[in-house]
Amino acid sequence: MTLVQVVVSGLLIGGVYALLASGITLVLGVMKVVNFAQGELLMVSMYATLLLNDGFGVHPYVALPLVTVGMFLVGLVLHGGLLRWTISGGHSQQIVLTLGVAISLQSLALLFLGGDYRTLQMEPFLGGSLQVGGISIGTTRLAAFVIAVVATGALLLLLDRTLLGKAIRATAMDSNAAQLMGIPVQRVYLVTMGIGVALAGTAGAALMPIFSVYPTVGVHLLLMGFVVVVLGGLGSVAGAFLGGLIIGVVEAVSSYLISASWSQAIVFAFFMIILLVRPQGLLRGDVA
Amino acid sequence: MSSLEIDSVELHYGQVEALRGATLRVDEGEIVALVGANGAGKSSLINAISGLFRPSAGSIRFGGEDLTALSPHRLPAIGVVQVPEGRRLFPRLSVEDNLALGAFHRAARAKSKETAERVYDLMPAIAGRKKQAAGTLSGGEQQMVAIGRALMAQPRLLMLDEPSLGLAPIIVAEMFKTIKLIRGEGTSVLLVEQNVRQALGISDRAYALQQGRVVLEGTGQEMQDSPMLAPAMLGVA
Repeated sequence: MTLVQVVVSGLLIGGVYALLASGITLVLGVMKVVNFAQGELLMVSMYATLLLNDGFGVHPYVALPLVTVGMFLVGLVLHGGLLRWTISGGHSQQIVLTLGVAISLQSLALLFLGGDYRTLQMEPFLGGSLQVGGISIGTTRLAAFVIAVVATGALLLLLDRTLLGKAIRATAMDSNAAQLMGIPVQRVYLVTMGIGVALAGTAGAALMPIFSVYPTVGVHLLLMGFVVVVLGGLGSVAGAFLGGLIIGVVEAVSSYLISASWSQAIVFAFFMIILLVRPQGLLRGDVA
Repeated sequence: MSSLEIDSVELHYGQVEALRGATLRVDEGEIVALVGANGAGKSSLINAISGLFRPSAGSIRFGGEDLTALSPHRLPAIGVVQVPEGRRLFPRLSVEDNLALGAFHRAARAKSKETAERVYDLMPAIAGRKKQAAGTLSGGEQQMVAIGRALMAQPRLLMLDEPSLGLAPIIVAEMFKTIKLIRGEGTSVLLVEQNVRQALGISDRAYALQQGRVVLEGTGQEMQDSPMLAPAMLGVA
């Protein structure tokens, strides 16, 4: 395996980190809520993709839009039923709530789906790889990356070009002024949470053909997600995308050059150096 | 008739009484100034009208409708819009986008483009800066955008909280001229100001607040001539 090969495969998986992180950073930027359940929502999305395939033979890339829409609705319910009551309550309430949701989802998954590592059984569709200029690219990794690029692009367009997106950004910048201008801030929060959780859905479905799923899969991925969020700049979707790619590459290269067991340590060491040099993150956090 | 009627409004922040029975009105087409020392309750009153704070007693009505029952975001749709103290623009959005967000309620949104043209006609200084991020404009231009953004909702009552704060005198004069033009188009104005002389100069009527109560009221001219004004402004009347 050459270094170029490693960098490419790191970039590809970095796209999925970016997708997970953009859901966290959007909710953080707009609602000032750190969603500790994002990793478990990703886990739920992975299981949903797996079970749609196991039970109904749905191809994971057909399941992806279904899971995305389904998780959007989950986000609405999560906000409308639980989170909205803590919006004015401060960070400790929100942390306890989202951590509680995370632990509950983990336990429910363990209880009903078991602790085994499970993978998609679709080798004939998913096992291939492309050869480009001497580099081998797994089709599922390439697909995940393309999905991440399209989803991030769509989110940025929504935030930048539509009145809803501008209202979301305005709410992120100054929620009181937004209210005074007639923007229904509570509804903006509801939709933002829907989109944030939908992004976990997209990421989970894109990841399922590559990774195994188990009840605590979200824990490791969430940690990566937070690193990416801080690296990219709190509240910056474009920054999250950039950060995701960087972390993906750093992780891949360090496990190739040093050892896979060191890759996490290297990622966090790299992260700390970035924070020393540029503590505000790579890009400015104004949500778009 | 779409007038603002505030009757015996009391407002508490915990133990602190910010308003103790404030009563005043703004009739259709009037410019009414609200003056008073720091902490007299001017901003508290304007924010109580906007629904950001809830009065513990008294009533606030606009055109007969009870405003204290409404969420703040519903006010622009019934014609009451505040330009908050410190302008509070969306700094990293363009001037154009700031204006577009001012016209968020359904009726205003449908006419957003035409209203924006009217705003640019009224304030040529910002017309050339449509694509620029609002946070990069000068203080005077930002205040114009803030007023323009509020006008986008097509208000019947425009409330301005300390619009002259931090602006050069020549810019303030220009802004007060714009406020008169806005009233000329049929919008009532409630003006909270520390710049007392100029505020009274353009007002039809005015109220002086002290410790949460109206201690002096009259026409702009009467207020300027009153020996009671200076003590009220110093908070010693």
